[in-house]
Amino acid sequence: MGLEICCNKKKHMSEIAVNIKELNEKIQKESSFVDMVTLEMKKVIIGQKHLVDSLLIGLLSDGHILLEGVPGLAKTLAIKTLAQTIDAKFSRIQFTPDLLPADLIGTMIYSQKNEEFQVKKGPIFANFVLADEVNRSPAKVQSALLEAMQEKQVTIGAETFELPKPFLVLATQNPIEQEGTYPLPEAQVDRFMLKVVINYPTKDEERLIIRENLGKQFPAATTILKSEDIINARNVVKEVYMDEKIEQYILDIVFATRYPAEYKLGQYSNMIRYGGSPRASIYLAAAAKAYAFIKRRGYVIPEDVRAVCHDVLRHRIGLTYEAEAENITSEDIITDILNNVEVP
Amino acid sequence: MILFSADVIGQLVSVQAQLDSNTIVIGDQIGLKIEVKKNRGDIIKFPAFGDHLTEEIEIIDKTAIDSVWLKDEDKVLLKQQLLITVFDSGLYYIPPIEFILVSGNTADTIRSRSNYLEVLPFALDTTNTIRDIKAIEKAPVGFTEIYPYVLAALFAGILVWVLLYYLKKKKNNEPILGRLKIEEPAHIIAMRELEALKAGKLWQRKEVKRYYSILTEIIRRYIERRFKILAMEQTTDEILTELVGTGLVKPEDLKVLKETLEQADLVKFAKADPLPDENETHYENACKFVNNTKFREDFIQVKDLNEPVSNEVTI
Repeated sequence: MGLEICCNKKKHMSEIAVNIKELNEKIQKESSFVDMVTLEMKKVIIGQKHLVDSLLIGLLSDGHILLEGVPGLAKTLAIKTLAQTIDAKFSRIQFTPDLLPADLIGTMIYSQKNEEFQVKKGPIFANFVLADEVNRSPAKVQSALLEAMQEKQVTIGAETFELPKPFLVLATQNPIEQEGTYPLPEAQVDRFMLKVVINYPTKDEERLIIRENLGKQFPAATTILKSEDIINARNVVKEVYMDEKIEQYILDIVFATRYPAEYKLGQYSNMIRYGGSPRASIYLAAAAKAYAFIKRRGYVIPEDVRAVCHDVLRHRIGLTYEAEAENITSEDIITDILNNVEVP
Repeated sequence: MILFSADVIGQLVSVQAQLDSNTIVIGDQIGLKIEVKKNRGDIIKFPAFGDHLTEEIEIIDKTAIDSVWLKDEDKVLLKQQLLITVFDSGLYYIPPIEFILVSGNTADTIRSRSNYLEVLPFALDTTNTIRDIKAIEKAPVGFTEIYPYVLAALFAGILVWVLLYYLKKKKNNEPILGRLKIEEPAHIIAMRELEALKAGKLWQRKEVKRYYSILTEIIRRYIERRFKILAMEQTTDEILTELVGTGLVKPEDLKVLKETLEQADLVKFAKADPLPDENETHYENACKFVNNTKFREDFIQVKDLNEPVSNEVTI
């Protein structure tokens, strides 16, 4: 009798867990490259774990990233290393005040030999594009980049060209030099899935950085992935299970940025000029799924949402003058929202 | 005392102007009663009296014209009372008072009889010696004068009472407004809710997800009340980390809690469907956690008596 119960239990257990188990197994298999990529990146990038995770989230959920940090924090090196680990084309564009859209997307050049105009594709035709100091160029160049990010295609002359897949833009901004810059308008910032703020490394990390840089040979990452692997992984990420309780949690967080008083955050009512758009909800869900994938899980838990929440929302909350006068930042507001919205 | 009789003008209208007295002392006030008896339908226009009746006679007050229907005579009696005074001695002539009578298509002027008023000076008492001028008399103090002070005293009294009330409440650690609400201990609430959950038989009715949602909510609310941790707004990992930080929960209780919360997460977010005995086990885990961590005086004492509570819990 006892044996029968035991067998039934095992059978039952195997039946009930089948969906999640299958999904978990699939994710374990498909996400094995995550550890490899992380290891390769760690060879080159010391510390900056959050940056590496964010790059992977952007890569896996097909979202572009805006990086903000003072110069010298390995922003460029990180994206370059990520491109190295994947067999993908990388290009770096330094945004300057005299940059023109044609310098970015390409132009038609007259060929005297063929006596016709030929398309000269710009540096945007790459899998990984680093738009360095994106706020140094005027609005027309920023618009050209952001349009390409959104449409995933570029029109030169009368011809439209698809951008390669995967296509990931990493734009950087320097938070300390604001003179002579063209801050990205809210509508355009919203198109970045994540805004990642990079901080200084720790003392130990910096010690290692010194040693590596002054060593005889600077380490290099090895190519371990193909572009197709990323596209396959993106499809698996979409399969990660998100329960309606998590969806509700995401909605509560985003709605709290719009109507703080309804979430016992009345003190922010006159400090938030505008809250997160529906794009915020979409990206928060997508980023949470990608984060769960990185953590080798087939389902999203509240921890995943909280882990990506700051990066997804910090550039989507507009502050009023009152907030600026009182030194309230969007970071403070997001933290308070997370501390006030009930976790399912 | 009637000193003047009335005139009779015409056949149907009579006018009277009577003084209450013909003799007064300087400054005294005296009434002049004016009465006009007229037929119904006739119109009598009274003179418009100003401040003076004559140059010397002042009108202090006057009543409105009152009308009375005299049923027996079928007439209307109009009455007005003037209050007059004079501030000089002598004999004063009160001229006839003129009224305009409008009867049908005709109008006529009718007059009362003239009167005399004698105003006498004060009699001097020559028998007594000359006395000094009287001192200024103090007016009696009225409510108008004292009410600001009354209000101030009342306000000060209320203020003192409020202050004493506040200090008393603070001293007794009672709420300022309302009565002291005795809060139920967190574990009593939690155990009652757990009992209700059991009675609900949710997982037996295949409502496993709801069962675990309520179970974790009870545990989290208990943690919130018992340890003052914002457990409702925290994830499983965060709750466990904070509980370790309190140093009030034993490692074996943390382990039990961790198992239950993680199982609940799987049910809530990953469609897991545990076995019936697992549901029972996690229910018992919850009860055990509440019972083992409930607030006890002796628990604190044990802790104070250098009974170390290990923080080295792997979560």
